[in-house]
Amino acid sequence: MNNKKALALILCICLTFVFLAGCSGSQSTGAGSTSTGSDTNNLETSSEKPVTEIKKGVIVTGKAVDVKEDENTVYQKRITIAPALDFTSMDVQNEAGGTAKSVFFLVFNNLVEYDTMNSKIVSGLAESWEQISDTLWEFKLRQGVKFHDGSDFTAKDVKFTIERGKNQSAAKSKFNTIEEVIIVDDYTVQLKLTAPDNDIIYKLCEANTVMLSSNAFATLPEEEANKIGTGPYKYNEWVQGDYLSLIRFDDYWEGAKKTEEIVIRHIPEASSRLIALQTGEIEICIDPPAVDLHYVAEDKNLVLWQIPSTNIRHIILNLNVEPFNNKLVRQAVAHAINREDLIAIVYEGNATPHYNVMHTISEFYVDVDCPEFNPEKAKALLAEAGYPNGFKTTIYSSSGTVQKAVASVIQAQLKEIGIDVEIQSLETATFNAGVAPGGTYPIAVDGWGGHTIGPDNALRSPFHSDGNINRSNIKDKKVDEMIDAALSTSNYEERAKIYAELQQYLINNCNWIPLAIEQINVGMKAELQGFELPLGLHHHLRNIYIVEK
Amino acid sequence: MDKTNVVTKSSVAASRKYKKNSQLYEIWRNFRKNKGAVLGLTVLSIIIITSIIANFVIDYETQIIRQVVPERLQRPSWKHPFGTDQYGRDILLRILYGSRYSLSVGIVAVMVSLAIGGVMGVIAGYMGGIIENIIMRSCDVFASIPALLLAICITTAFGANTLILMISVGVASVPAFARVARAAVMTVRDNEYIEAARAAGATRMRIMFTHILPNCMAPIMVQTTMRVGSAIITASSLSFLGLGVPPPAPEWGSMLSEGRSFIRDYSYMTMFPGLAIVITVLAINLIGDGLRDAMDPKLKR
Amino acid sequence: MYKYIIKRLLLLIPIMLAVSFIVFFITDLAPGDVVDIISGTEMSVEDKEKLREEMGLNDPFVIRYFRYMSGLVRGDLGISLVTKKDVFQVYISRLPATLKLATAGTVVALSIAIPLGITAAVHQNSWRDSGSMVLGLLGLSIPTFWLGLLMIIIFSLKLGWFPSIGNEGLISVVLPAITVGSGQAALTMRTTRSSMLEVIRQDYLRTARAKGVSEKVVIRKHALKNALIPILTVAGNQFGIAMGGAVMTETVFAWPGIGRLIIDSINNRDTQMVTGAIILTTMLSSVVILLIDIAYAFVDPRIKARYTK
Repeated sequence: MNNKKALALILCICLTFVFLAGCSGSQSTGAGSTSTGSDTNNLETSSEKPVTEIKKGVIVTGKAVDVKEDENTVYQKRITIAPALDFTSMDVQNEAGGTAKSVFFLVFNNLVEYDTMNSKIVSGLAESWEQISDTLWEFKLRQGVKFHDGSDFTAKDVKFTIERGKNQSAAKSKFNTIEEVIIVDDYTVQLKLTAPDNDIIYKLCEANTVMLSSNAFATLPEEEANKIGTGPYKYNEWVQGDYLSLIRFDDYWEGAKKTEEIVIRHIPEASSRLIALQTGEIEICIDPPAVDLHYVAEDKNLVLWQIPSTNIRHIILNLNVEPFNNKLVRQAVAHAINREDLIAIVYEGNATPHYNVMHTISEFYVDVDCPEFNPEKAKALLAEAGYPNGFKTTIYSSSGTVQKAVASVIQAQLKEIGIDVEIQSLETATFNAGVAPGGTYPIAVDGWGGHTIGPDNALRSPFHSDGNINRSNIKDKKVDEMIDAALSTSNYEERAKIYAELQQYLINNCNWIPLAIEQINVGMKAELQGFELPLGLHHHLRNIYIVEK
Repeated sequence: MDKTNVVTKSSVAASRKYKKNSQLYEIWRNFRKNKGAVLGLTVLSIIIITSIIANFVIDYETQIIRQVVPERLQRPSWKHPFGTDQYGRDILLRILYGSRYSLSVGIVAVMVSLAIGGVMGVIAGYMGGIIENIIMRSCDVFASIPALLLAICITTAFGANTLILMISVGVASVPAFARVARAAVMTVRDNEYIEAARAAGATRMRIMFTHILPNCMAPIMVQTTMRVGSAIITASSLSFLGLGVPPPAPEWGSMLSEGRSFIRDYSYMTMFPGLAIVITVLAINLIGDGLRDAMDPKLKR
Repeated sequence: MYKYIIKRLLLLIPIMLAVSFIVFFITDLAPGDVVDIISGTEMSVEDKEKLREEMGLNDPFVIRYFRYMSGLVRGDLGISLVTKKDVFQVYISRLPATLKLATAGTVVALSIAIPLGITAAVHQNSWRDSGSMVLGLLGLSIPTFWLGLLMIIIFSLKLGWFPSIGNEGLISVVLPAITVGSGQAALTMRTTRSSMLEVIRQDYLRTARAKGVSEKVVIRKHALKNALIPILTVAGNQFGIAMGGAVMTETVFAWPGIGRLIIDSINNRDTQMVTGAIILTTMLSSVVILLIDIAYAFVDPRIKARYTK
């Protein structure tokens, strides 16, 4: 009978499906099945491809295809990039999201730019600049720069941008030391500062401080004017939650770029994102699952970049909450943490243990004495503090995969010294509200990547009494004084000395316990040329192109 | 399961002696005819028994939540029949121990919706008129908000702990219960024995809960059984969105969702919790279908 | 008939009002607000407070709800608090993908459910009945995101038959539709089975059999046609659910649908967007269900008679 056959067929299909699913793991892992620990070893030894070490700890596995270019070379029209987070807005001076900031570097230019390959400030829309006095800087602007709306970039745009930014939420903290913008002539501006600010030049490299068009804001509604920049790509189309399309700006002052269209594509699920790269649906995949990185490394058609990020993963202990107001308890927690295990579990080994509040990329970074992993000592400290049998507490984490995994590991490690931790995994808004300065959470898993705009921002935000993210509620006069002094000291040695002392002081305080410097993993097609190091979490995508075969 | 067992025993005994209680016996006879349903009942019984035994045999602190870094990500072997996860925890033990979480999430959630929805439906069905209208229209409103979204709103609003999770999953199926209960009551309420009770001076409340409710249990029971399955699935969906049972509890849904970034190299990490969910939910659904068939007089041969 | 339609449409208004209130209220109940999302680490506590003041987030709930409602009654759903885009526009931009997935999913569900349901009914209590039920229920019992990921790995990565992500062309809808459809199939299959069981024993089928019509034709022509109405009702309901509730599938396949829009907006505390999107989704699915009801009336004179009463 027909029905019987049909049913049998369906059953067969279902069974095959289940079997395939069952086998899919064992098949694909035949090669790597001996490795059970860290995957990086596997990645470096089993892969026959060249592993090139670039400066600053970047590992590139695989080799970009060599290309010969001449005037007849045809370039691939569109390149698609899938970042981990969604693009949320084009509101340059109010946007805090990392993906949006990567986009801003495509659509806009800064006065000066940060060359991540060589760690130095290079010329952007300003051809040259000089510090006239402690509080006065002069910038000579580039001539012949056009905005996407056709108007010329001049000194009045600089003045407009800075004055507008002083009242906008995200730009404010970068412009707040600028008292006045003085227009000397059309192509010369001076910035007069309220007080000496050693970091002003870093701040001007940031995505929130890109130059806007005063003309556009005078003639267009705000949300349209926000899209007008001087950058190599201009805003084309944005379907929220799906993709953002940028089109080449032909009158770009450096000359038009090779790729016609750049698409930023939102693929929320990490596994799907990597598969899309492997099947050729996208060209660049940012942050595939850590455990799957070897698929990129082993694939001849793909190249893997492993870049130390500016993000320091850490936990914070709230000084307003019992028993973390007790320094002995905080030290006990610090001694209970095993960073190697944490990195093996959470990042599959793809991260660097970190022991300082300052990031290694900072010129003021020094090696400090950090409480080492020592559970016996931790227990002794707990007993000394009056908690010989430990206590119960709660750890807050956002619902992100990494944060949750960190919380799980911390929970298990603190359990070993008798502290019972309950995990509260919250989505971003609840988390941010819960850990805001003045909050009552006990422990939280956090990340901090504020080192791209200078050492002052890096330490002021989390540690100054009125820092924006003073989530551990540290109110220490000595810390405040040192931070303020370091910002306004013009003597470099003096400044370095203050920062060195401050780093050791903060680490001893154990309210902010660094765990690891995370890594940005980027998988891309081997044909892709021109990929550069990201600044912070923001990728430099200006020069990417693919030669059409 | 327990309930059905009790029913069987008592009904078998009863039928032997007096051939009374024939309705329950009839249901059981019909239920037995349905091979799928019997299979489902067997499987579910095994799962429940295992979860009870697991409680005595497995130590939560050392075998379930302890992280053993050298043993992480080991493939299934004699030592770890289902392998270990990224924290080095044995997956088999976690699944065995975790059955209680998944089952209790399912059962408690349904109890919540049964308690709220059932009462609302009974009141609506019995009272009629404007009260019925108000109750049923508010059910329409709740029903038009997608169940998962409602659950998400509630868990974000009240925090993601296990109890809130159970409630939020349950609240979403309140309208369904209210509708079923109301329909069931409406078929019963005009019967003569209700009239009789009313004539005897019984209060409305008494009539509702002692005379009407017991007589319209059948459809409500069916609904209850089937919703347990979907509640387990909804809970696992919430885990996927980061709002499920908080770690390190070995709830199947959160194991499945945590394992998903390892799905390519270590597919056993999702395979086993996934299969555990599939088998349990399937068994529950089969029982529900069997019950419904057995209780539906229209479907008799 | 028209009276009935108008009545149903009018009934939508109080429902919409209630839905808007509940959604607005629940999203408001959640801790944190949109400022906690957009501020990141760049804003001081005072600035955040100032921004809240500017956005009117510090006003009491009643005032904010009233402000929202005064826009709503004029048909203005407001702008997103995060992206500053018009809520209606954003919704419309997501609608085609959503409808595509919901439709394809329903088609998949029906094409699994109807044959299985009929097989089960015709062979009630046999192994084929149980087998079909197990198969049909399987889809309901598999957590959606797991099924989706497995399918991507097998059919996109290993076999290369379908694209893994996004909404481009007809082929891209296949895997998401199977994921959505297999979850829906169970309920439709149950309905098919029970309504077929009812129909199969009706007198007119006995007559048809007696007249010598083959069993196959009896089932296909006479029985199915009469059992179709409850089946379509269920399918219509599921279509409505798929419009707002296919969150898992949309996430795994990076499908730009409305479910994910709503989830993202809940996470962002974008009250305007959440409320607007749910109101519109409710409205659309109610209209779909109404259309199905009306369609019956044209097919089945008995139902039409009921409406005109």
